[in-house]
This record gives sequence, C-alpha cells and structure tokens, in this order.
Amino acid sequence: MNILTESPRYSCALGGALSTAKALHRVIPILHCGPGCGMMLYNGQNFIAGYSGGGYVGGATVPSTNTYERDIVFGAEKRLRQTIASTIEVMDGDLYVVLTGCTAEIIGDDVPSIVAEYADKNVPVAHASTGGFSGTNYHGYEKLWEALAQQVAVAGPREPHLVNLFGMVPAQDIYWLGNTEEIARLLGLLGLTVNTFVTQRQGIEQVKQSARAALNIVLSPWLAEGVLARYQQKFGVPSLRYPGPPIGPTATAEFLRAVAAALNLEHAVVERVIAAEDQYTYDYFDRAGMIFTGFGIQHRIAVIGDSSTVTGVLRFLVNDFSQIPAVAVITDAPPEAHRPAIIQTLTQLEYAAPPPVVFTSDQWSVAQAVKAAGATYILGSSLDKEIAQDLGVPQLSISFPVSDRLVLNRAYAGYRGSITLVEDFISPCVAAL
Amino acid sequence: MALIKPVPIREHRLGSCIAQGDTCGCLNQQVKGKCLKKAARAFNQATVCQEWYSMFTLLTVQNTVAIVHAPVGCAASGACMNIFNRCGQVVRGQQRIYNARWYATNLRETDIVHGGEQKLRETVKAADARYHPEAIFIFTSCASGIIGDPVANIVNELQDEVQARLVLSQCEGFRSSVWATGFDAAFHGISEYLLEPRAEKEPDLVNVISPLTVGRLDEVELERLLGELGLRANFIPCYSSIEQLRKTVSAAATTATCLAYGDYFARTLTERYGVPHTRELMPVGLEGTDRWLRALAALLGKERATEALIEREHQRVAAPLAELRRVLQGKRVFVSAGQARAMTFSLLAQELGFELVGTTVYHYDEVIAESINRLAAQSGGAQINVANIQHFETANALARLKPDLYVADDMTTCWGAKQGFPTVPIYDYGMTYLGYSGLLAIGTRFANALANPSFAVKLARHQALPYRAAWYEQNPFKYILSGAQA
Repeated sequence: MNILTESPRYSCALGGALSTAKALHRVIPILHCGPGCGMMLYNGQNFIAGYSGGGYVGGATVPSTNTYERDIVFGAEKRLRQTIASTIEVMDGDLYVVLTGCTAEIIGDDVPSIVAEYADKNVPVAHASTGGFSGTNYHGYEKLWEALAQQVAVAGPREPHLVNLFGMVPAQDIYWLGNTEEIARLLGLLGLTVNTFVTQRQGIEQVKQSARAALNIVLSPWLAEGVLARYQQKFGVPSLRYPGPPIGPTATAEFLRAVAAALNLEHAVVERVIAAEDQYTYDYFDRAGMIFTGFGIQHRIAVIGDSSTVTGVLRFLVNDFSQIPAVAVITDAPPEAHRPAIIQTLTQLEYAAPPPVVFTSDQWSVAQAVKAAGATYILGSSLDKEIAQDLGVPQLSISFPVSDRLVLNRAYAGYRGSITLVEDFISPCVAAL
Repeated sequence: MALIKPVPIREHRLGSCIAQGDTCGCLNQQVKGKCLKKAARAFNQATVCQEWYSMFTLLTVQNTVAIVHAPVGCAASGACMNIFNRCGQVVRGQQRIYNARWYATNLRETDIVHGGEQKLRETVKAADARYHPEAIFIFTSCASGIIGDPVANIVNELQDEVQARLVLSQCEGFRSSVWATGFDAAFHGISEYLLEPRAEKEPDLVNVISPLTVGRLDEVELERLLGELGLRANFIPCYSSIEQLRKTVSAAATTATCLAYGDYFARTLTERYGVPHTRELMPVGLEGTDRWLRALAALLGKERATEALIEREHQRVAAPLAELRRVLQGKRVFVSAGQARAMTFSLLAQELGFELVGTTVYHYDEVIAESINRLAAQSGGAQINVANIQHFETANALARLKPDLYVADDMTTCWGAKQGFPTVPIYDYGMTYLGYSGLLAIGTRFANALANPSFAVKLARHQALPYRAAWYEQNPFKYILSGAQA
C-alpha cells in the first residue's frame, strides 16, 4: 500500500468543513479542536488557494475552543459550552456550526448533546463531526453538507426551477467562485434559479430552501454521495452528476443537455442557448487562432490535480484545442470504486490516444509520472513549477495549491471560462517576449 | 542514544502568559511587582500552535526533509511555508528554485486506534532513500501525542537504518498555549541531535538567530553593520546549511534578530558551549539598533568601533529621519505583533513621531519586561493587550482608539483594513526592516500608507467585521478570566 504523502495537496476533514462553512455568508464556524488548527487550516487551505482571503469570517476571526493539555485530560465539554455561549454574544451570524477536530474526537466529548441544548433557545446551532484523522478536506465538505441537510434544510413544496449546485470544495477547487458564477449564469439562461450557496452572499436561506429544489447538480466524478443520498431520502430531491465543472463548448453543451433532460426543459430553449454561447466562444477562439496556429502551439500536456479539474481541463484542451494528452495525475484520492469511471472519462477522447492515468497524492510520485510521460507542458499546482523547471517546459497553475497568482473570480468552466483558459494556456509560451 | 525529553514549555520556563489587557503603565507595575497573574479567556478565536512554529523554524534548512507525524491537516501549513521558501530563494538570487520537502504520515482512524508507528518508520525510510538528505526533521502533533506513539524511541531505533541524521521536534500543539514553545522545540531538536563540541573557535563569527519572517534584505543590512566591526554573520536556521547550524558552537557570540525566537537556542549555546549571547530584542529603529549593536560589542570588546559606527549611521540618517518625523509627527498608531516586533515597532513608532495608542503583543514573559518598562516610560497611557491574536479584542480596541495607522502581521492586517484603517505589514521580504536602513524604509512605508488610505477607507464602507454591534460597546477585555477563574 502506498502510504507516502509528500507535499499533500489537500488538508483534513476539519479543513474542508471550515473552508466550506466560511464560504456560506454569515455562517460562523465554531472550532472545537487544538489551538493551531484554525489558523493552520485557514492558511494551509485558503491562503494557498490563489491567496483566497476575505469572506465574512475566517482565519483569526473564527471562534475556537483551543483545547490544551488540561482539556484533554479532563474533557473539554465545559469549554465548548462556554465557547458557544460567548460566540453567540460576540459574533453576529445567522447560523453557528460546531466543527470538531482530532482532539475533541479522540477524547470523546459529547458534542451533539451540547448543541441540542440550543434547540429550544431560538439560536441556530448545528454540528458536524470532522476529526482530522477521519479523512481529507473532501470528506469534511461532505460531512458538513450532510449535517446541513440533516439539521438546517427545511422540507417544503417543490420549486420546479430551483437547483442546488454541489461538488466544488471552496478553496480546494482553485477557481470555485468564478466557476460557480459561470455555471450559475448558464443555468440561469435555461430559466433556472441556482442555490450556489457561495456566491452573491447566499447563506442560511438557500441552505433551508435547498430541500425544495428540483435537482441536485454535482460537479465531481465522486464527491458528495452521502449528501445526495440524504437529500434523496429525506426530501426526495433527485441528483445529476457531471464529472467536474464542464470546460469549453463540447463539454458544456453536453452538461447543459444533461441538465435539460433531467428537468424536462424545453429542447428548443436549451439548443438556442447552446448555439448562442457556442458562437460567442468560437468568435474568440478564432482570434486565438492567429497565435495558436501561427506559433504551432501543440504540446504533450501533463494535467495534475483533483479529478474534477483534471477531467475538465484535459478534455477541453484535447477535445477542443488539439493538445496531446501525455499523462493525467489524479491527486484527490478518489474512492477505489470511482476510479474506473474516472479513467474512462479521461481516456475516451474524441480524436486523441488515451493518456496513462495515475492516482497519487505524493509529490515524488507525481514528478516520476510526469517525467516518464515526456510532457512538454505541465498544468498542475504551483508545487509542479519545480518539475517544469527540471524539464525546461512551461507550466500553468490550475489546481491546489496555487501561490503564483491571485485568484478572485477567474473561471475556467463553461464557455467564457474556456476562453480564459485558452488565454492562460498560451500566455506562458510567450511570457518571456 | 538516551531518550530526549521534550523541551520545557514557556509557561514553566519563563512564566509566559497569553491573556492580559491594561495600559502600558499598569502592566509595567504588575511586571515589576511580579503580580502578573496567569489568565485565560472565556472566548477564544483560532490561533497558531507550536507545531506550526516548529516547522516554520526548520522547513527551509538546506538539504533536509520534514516529516509531520500527524493527520494530513497538520502538514497543511507546509505549502504556505513553501511560499516563504521559494521567495527566500528568489531574493537570494538563485536561478533554480526548489520546493521544501515535507511529508505527513497521514494518520487515519485506524492509526488512532492501533498507533501510527509503522507509517512513521516507512515515511522516514522513504524520505531518506528518495532525497538522501543530511537531516530529517520529525515533528509530533496533538494526535500522535494523545495516542502515545513512542516517537523518541522510534527515532532512536530508526537512526541505525537511515543515512540522514534524525532530529526530533516534540511539539504537540496542546502542550503549550504559547506558540513560541514551538521555536524552542525545534531548537531543542537541533541542540540535542545535531550539535557536538568543536575545538576550533572562529573569533569573528557571530551567530544571528533569525526567523523566517526576517528577509534577505535585512540580512544584507546586518552584514553591512557587522562587517564594519570586522564581524561575520552566521544567519541560522532559515536557509542555512546543517554545517552552519553545527558551527554555531565555534562562534564568538550569539545574537538574534528576534530574541523571542532565539532565546532558548542562544541560552543553550551559552550554557553548553560557552558562546555568550546578547539579550536585546531586535535591531529595529534608531535606539533599538544602537542597543542591539552595543550589546554585541560589549561581549566582543568592540565598544569603540561600535560607538564610531553608531555615530556615522546617526549622521547618515539624520536628515531623512527629520523629514519623516515632520510628516509623521502626532499621527496615532496601533501595533499588533509577536513579542519582539510588538515592542520594537511600538518604540520605533515613537521615534518617528507617532503617538502610540495601543499594542497587541502575542505573549508576555520576562523576555520583554525591560521593553515594557521603556514603553511605559514613554507611553504609559497606551493600551497594551497580551493576546495570542484574539482579533475580537483588537477590533474592539481599534474601534475605540481609531488610530491613523494599523501596523500588524498578515494574520490581521486584512481585518484592520475592513475597519477602514490603512495598514503596514510588520514583515515583507521585499523591504528592509532592520538596522538604520530599515528605520528609513519603515518610516517611508508608514508615510506612504498614511498618504493614501483609499483601499481601506472604501473597503470599510462596503464590508463589515463579523462582530455584533453590541460587542464594540463592551470592555475589550471582558472575556479575560483571572487566574482563579481560568
């Protein structure tokens, strides 16, 4: 078994739950964990996701029990009670969510009972069990959403044109905000209202009404199975899975048609949207054609990152932009059961020969795989600049961690995002000019 | 080798504390009367643990690998520190930039139950085989500590199986509320596992213990000043080699660019190897740099040359300093930082003509007692807050005191800006902060920040901090519990 993890490209369950909770406007995480987890995970998750700061609460403003030796010996339930009560006094939020770290989980504090004390007090307090050892930050994303579905979402009459958007883990998917905006824009063109939960200051209201949505859309090959199951069982919300944010005309049209089919949307409307967006995009690809064909930009690309991003970026650059896939390296440790489908998506390409698909979260192994593949262009994380330096080839940061650019609302998803990706893909080739 | 015991925590070694709020004058009285009580808080915000600062201390040592024996999240800061690591190579003019090498042993549920020993062994052996490092630093965590993995034993046993020198840093986050204990844990590892006596002495060599937040430009300034005294600086441990760490025992003296950081190692070198050390906090500002140089000169018999140097430097900076004072006179400043920077920047601000309205210092202990005394003499009425960040107290204080400028580190500058205060970071690799050149650079930066506060002013019109309006009506130190309550 490969247990080695050099330069991990994800944090722990607590990190994922923290970045997901703080992405919801006016939701206040209350950490029940050691003293350093909060800042460590904020910096180790948000800071290196293209310097993803800000938000209503985060970093040094997040309440935390900061458990020390005495708490570990005697239990920290009193400390948690005190922290929840004082948090409600000091912090102005619509929802408070207690997130447990390793220490609280190991010493076995009874968090559900303490949180239950607030049920009668008209203060919304939820909790999720997110001990760091229980899994990666992807697991933490799932645990938080399972908790919100269970404890916050409110059943009600179905809204036929309301959809929930899941699958992009905040500050793990580097382009989560921009990608979300573009996907929501496209779904809006189909006449849908989108609970993105993370844009336009969405928060507790959207979480509550998420139970009434007509469809859960999940943009990931594997994430959030438990969340979907909960929405299906508790609220009867069906789901549609697409393997990551679609990028470019081919994938995005496929995605929009899948959404339309799932919701029985009028065929003509959907095709009109696709045709208009397609033409808009190709008018820009036409402009890119001068440098793209003139400089003959065709590379053997290595694409490294989480399965969602690698799927979207590789398929777009190969299926729509003639790049040669040298290798796909998947770093988000998807469950074994999902790996055949991920491989299939990455190897069934329109024209190109299938690339090898490598699953590893270990930087040494990433470097070995990329060097063995004879790549001439690396799309990965900022960690992979070193491999590009060794090989003397261009590099573009598309996946976590990213420290060589500020990312605000930059998107690679959808139609408009794919135009940005083309700009970014070609720019390193001419950066020295 | 014998089992190495963990380093004493700063609460025990120095009486460090993390929760106080008062005026400088009153805190000084408590310090003098030795009646400063241990305290805690009934409300806490996320802070930093000693594991973070242990890694921060050792991650950039050349030709080494770091292994965090922990669930994967405890290694999350590695990528963040790698930004420092890469930037540090860039500013040192390196053509090829390399990543730091760090591993998580990735403890999972089953390891919590059955122990993570095997993962640690395999990771150490693999790191050794892959990179052939000179040393492998091993860091413990809350989880490995609670489950009781016998890491010191494992490290001793593994030493025979690998070529790299193994260095253990026992830095479980829960052990100390003072994250500076993490510096000590890292240096304890260096002194216990790496250092050996050496016969030869290097009479012109000065160890300069310097944290990762002190940049190359600061080193250039100190090399210049020490060079004028015929001394060579051995900057450790960041970006240094293992040999630079080992030869610290041969140096003529040890000083630090941050005494809060270097305290334990400087004392160790004195106690075990007879290398004397200075007790000045940081060479920041006119007086701060004078004192720092004089303390070193006194150890090495360089007083006359040092006085001449100080006089030359004072003359050099006199005119631009006068101009800065003219611009900054009477402006009100609030400083928030770790011990050494909080004290020296507060004193520096006064030298530049500012009125100091408040300081947040991340922990209090005897290391800064003398500085508190000096601060009280000049700004007895200024607020002083001892807090391991605890931004809610700072935000409350800023709202009351309404300074013209907020000087802090990158953990809180962004929140200060949301309140509308122009900010200056207390460290930045792109600028000189130390020495006489640093004085002028900082002053210029303060003046620039005051000259155009547009970003913070307009940001504050659009964004709010996550605190209730009622919080700003409360005493900012309301949640500090006295010793008995804590």
